[in-house]
Amino acid sequence: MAPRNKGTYIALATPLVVLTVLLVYPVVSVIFRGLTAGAGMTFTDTVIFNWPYLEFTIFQAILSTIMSLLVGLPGAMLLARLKFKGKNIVRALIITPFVLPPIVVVIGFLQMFGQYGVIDSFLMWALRSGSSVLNLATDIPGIILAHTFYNVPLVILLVSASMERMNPEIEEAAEILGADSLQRFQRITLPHIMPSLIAATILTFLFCFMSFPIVLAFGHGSYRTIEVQIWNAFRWADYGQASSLVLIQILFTLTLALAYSRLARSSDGARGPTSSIKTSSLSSYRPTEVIMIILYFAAMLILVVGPIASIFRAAFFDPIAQRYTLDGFRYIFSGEAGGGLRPLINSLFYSSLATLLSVGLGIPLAYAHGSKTRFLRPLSSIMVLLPLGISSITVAYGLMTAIAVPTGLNINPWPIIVLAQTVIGLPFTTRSIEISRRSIDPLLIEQADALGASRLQRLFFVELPLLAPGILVGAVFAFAMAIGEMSATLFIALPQNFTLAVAIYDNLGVRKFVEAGASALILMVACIVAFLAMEKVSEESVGGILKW
Amino acid sequence: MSVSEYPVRRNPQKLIGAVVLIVVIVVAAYGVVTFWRPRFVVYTYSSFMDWGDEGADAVLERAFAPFEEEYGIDIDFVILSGDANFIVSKLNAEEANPIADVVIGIDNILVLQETARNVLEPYVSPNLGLINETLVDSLDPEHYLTPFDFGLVTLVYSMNKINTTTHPELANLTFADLAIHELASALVTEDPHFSSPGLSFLLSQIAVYEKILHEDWTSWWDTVEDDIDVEEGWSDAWSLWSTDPTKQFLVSYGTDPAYSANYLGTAPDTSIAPLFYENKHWAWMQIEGIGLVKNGPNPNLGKAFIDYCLNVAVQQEIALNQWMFPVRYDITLPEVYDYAIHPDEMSILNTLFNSTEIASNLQDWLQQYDAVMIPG
Amino acid sequence: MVNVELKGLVRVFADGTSVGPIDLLVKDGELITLLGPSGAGKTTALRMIAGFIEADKGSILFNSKDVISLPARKRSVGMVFQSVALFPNMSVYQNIAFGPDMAEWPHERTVRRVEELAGLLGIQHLLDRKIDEISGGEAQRVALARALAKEPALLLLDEPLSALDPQLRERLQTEIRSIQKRVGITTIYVTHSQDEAFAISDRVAIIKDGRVVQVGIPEEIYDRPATEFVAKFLGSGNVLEGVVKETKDGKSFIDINGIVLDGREDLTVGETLRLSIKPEDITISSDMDSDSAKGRVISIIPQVGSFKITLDFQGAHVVALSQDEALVKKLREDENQTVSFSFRSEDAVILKD
Repeated sequence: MAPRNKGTYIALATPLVVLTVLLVYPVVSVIFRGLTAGAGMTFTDTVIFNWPYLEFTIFQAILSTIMSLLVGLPGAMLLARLKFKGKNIVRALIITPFVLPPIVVVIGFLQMFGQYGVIDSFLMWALRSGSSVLNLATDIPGIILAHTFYNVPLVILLVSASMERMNPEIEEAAEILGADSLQRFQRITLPHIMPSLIAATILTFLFCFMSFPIVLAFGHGSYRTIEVQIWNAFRWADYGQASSLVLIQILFTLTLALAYSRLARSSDGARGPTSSIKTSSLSSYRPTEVIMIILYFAAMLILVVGPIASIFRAAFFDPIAQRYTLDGFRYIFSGEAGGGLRPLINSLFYSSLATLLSVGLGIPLAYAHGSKTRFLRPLSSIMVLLPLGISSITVAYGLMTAIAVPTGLNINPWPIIVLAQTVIGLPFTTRSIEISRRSIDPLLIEQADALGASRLQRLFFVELPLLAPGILVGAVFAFAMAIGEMSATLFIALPQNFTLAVAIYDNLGVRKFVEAGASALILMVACIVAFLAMEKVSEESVGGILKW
Repeated sequence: MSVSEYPVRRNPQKLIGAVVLIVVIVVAAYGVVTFWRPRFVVYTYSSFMDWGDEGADAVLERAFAPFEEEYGIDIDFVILSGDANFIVSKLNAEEANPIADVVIGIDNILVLQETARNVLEPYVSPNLGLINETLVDSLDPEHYLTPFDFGLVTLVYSMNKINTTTHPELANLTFADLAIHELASALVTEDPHFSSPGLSFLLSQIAVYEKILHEDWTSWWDTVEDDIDVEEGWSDAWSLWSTDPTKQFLVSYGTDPAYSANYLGTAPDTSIAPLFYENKHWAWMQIEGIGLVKNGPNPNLGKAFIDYCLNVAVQQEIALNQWMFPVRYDITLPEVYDYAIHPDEMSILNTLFNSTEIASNLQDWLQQYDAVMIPG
Repeated sequence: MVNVELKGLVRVFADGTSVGPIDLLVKDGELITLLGPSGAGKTTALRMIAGFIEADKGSILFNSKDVISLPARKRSVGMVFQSVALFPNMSVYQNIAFGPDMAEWPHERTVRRVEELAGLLGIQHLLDRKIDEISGGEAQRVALARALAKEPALLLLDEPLSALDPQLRERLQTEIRSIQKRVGITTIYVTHSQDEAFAISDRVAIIKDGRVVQVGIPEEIYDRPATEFVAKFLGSGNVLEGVVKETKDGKSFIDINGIVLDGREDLTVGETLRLSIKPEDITISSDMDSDSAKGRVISIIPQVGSFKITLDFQGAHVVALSQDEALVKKLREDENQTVSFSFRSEDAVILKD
């Protein structure tokens, strides 16, 4: 590697410094202040008092993970092994739930599985009942179902990708040697897909552990996770409890994030060709199996496609007045005090800024992460992982207390919202840029050097154009995450700072369902468009971003 | 190809510089527009003065324009989503560098808490003479808060859904009545952590059980926890109650019948169901106050503001926009207030406690409430 | 235009292996090839000269000025890689113009220069094409034009033609050579192909295990390989071992398993020597008179203009070239034939090792 000069070091160190100031310092100061200042509950009291909530957090995460695996594994196998038309479309569409903001998922779920939702209405009609028959979008069933909805695509994609890389000749050899399908699955398939299974399990658990909007909406205040409790404790000014909870949560999540990075890295071995995978058509299965497969598809349709399609209904159907209306969209474009135009503009403005910042920080961070300098690489590794292991509420809480208050920004904390959204999306942006950077032919860099380009010229004329796909994907990812972000924004925002995501939650609370639905529809369209753009630009599936 | 047809390279520094400059200018402009104003900041809760026909903006503009003119200042009403509890927490978070000058909405219970007193500066307004002395003492004898409005927190119900004919117990409602599954599943209340009416209701219930019935108050909650609906805030609760046909009872204000009459233009369809014990009807009195924020940026202006809030210009807007009683005794109430219940007409549950009792037990009570309400 | 001198150039790798010390003198305007087996260190040496690898010891002198501490972009070196490495996001024109653009040449000068080089390399019609629209051979020409655009002092080529098919390769070889001569630029070329090296170079340096083993014009190193390695690598010699026998009148005889060579000077009796004899210097006949050495035929390989016959001579392989078709035909008909072979004494080169 050619010798580095000071300017390069500064450029690479900048994002590390920024992240230290914006993430490490606020969180550490919050924990420190909470544990020592004495306002509110002590740490031990917090643990004792919140024990039931901690139990619930772990319980629902475990249950959700198990459900996701149970529902996802068959899907993974079908995706890898079954031959059917339009597989690529299905593969691309399958990750859709995962790119939807949680609050949008809430709307979809309420509309599909909730009171007077699609299923409930059907059952009411079928059973000739005047009142609600089935409400699955509430309490524990709602939380578990919604989490499953979210994570099944993840399981399917990760595991099926691993399955497709399996050498079919190994299985054929086993078959010739007399193993039946169960034995083959146990002895050959399962060990091969184990790393991806572990990765999917940890990611799912982590997501469910830190889940906020879904638990908030379906838990009705009775069912709380640690994340929700931090939010509550902060709101009733019990900073001791809030900080203690932050500490407890971080211990869990950082451990998990670390485990994930270790395990995911080790499984990223040979990327074999997928062309030789053996797929069989539907006709080659036994009738009972065919029926099961069809049932599975139907169930997936209801579970996954249902809520997404329901969002369209939610945007137009007012369950209180029981009629279809355009009021939802009138709300979106209303510039009045309670209208949706301000949140819409806020969403666009904050997300765009957060995207710019994410990219601006992500590029040097990606370089630092790939650097050969001794301390830069592990340090930037940690910095990139950190936001994954720290919940959004914690980030927001830290920023508010450590940065907004001393600077007086809390009078109109929109910069803090932008910063929070940036920090939350940064790991993914960096990862995307890094993937791109690794695929740049190093000889091109050497040519640029030999031909006399300065570092800046080389960066601008050679590296950035080649990084462009990665930057674009990273930017779109950051934008989608920022615009859908609800937790941190809810924590920080004054009513004039509300984004569309927060407005959805607010409207839900006062039962303005159509307004919430229309907003959700807009967010969903934005996220899906963003995702499709990403898929088009990058050859590698977006799933690559999830591998560390 | 001629020379001019070949592509020319641009200097990257110029391009980068231009882009950065544009972004910085745009952001700085937005920042300047949002931050750079001399201002006077009032923290208050959502739906403050918002329940009239005109909406909060118009009412506040009209009520406070003279103040703004006299002192040449722009009042920034920061409407914080949620009820007053959140405001206290926000003020505590900003303790090191407060940006608010004055806070409206902390009530007579909230002010008993250390967290509230921690962020307030006591102030004795010269205008206190204009209001009833008992109100001042009931709210806060130490003057951390100056009374602004008051009202009663009680159960209300919609006469379209149930009435005293179908449910005769409504005339003399007790907690035992409410514990029955049919009524319990029709009850909507608010979270005592986040909502002052919710807290009032909890304290009402504790007052009745501890002081009148001498029973363990947590038992009632244990019985009803699976049936009742606890919403986070009053707005959420009110929305649920008014749109869901299965919800009959709402923990709300004694002025709701007046609101209903005003809205319908005729007799109200909302009625109150105060608790009935010892042959008396009881309700909980809530007094909301204005407080001077400790170490606020404009203390003198803050004091002037508090004084101003006791003027007719402001107090006369309260009845029809806050749907609470103004504290000034010389304000004429609109006709529809005939339907509202006044504290003089009820036995006040607050009197069952002495003020130190609430202050010292509140945290424990809230914790016990939480423990009981954990599902399963 | 520079002359380049490498003095004691050393690079130690993380796994303990090292390249160097390398000492080499490259004359102004000459094309010298670094020739050697894979992994010999040729590319490492080249990359140290270019500035992509930091040397641990030694100096690199361009016209007596040590550039070892200069970064690559300040060394005025043009480089062509085997994988071509054209900038994929730019057109052919932009690739060639890259160096001048980075140096901020006036636009007209850049255009003139690009057109001049494009004409030289026969790629004028490709200038506005995208990189993925040109063939492999065209790409290498573009790479060469790009390397020469900024009029560098030194041109480095790292196995530029190895990825091309043989016919294209031969054609481009001659082109590169003629352009190099026309432009007169000092050039260092790396290859593992002996034919290529000999075809285009002014001088060839054989590299083995990170060190220069022999430098000279092609004929010289072919005729008189300095070491056994060179002889074997170039296929220019059968290496046989012999013992120095008695001296007579100041001249010694060398006995190679029965073959006796005429007197040489400055040899110590009893010393063991290794000698190299080119295949084309060995004559084979089926005439079995007892005087000549005998060998058993192992294989016969036809090639351009001759037959390569491998013999087993007392355990050692001896390769000879023969143009005797009749002899070969006879040998083919009978398996395991024994033939006699001979060579002139003076054709045996004593190897220093």
